Amino acid sequence: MAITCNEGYHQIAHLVTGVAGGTTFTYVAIGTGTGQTAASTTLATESAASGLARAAATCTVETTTVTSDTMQWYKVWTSGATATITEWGAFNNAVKDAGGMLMYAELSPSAALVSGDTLTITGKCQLKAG
Amino acid sequence: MADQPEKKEPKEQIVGTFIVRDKDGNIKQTGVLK
Repeated sequence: MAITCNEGYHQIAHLVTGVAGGTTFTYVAIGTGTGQTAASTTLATESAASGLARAAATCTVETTTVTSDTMQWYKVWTSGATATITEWGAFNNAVKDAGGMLMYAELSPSAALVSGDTLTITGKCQLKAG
Repeated sequence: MADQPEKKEPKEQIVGTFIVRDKDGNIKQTGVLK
């Protein structure tokens, strides 16, 4: 289930106010686990398989309801292995299982990859009142 | 006694999409992040 993580709220508050302690979320990772919660700071089982490791995303600001109200992360992985990908997250650190996780989501259905396949993921987080 | 407000179930949110392509660029699979 898609969730915004506790660490995400914390970091966003710091980034918006300029109070020290916020780091931008420009990395994305994929994995083979499920079931993370708002308290999680990592994926359940982050992938370290060939071509499927955490990496910098192409980050943009998009419009869903109000102009520029949506953060977007875009990444294409080229798999060097067979893998079944089930989870995705946005992070503020380049290192596997490190840093804070802004948001977490599961793939539906899971993505079945063999070597040579590409997996393109576009993740979005819309800012809303209420 | 006033009726209790109906409890809303959390809405399942779709927060993204994905595409799997083979080495020739053909689409093998699509799905969503939720």
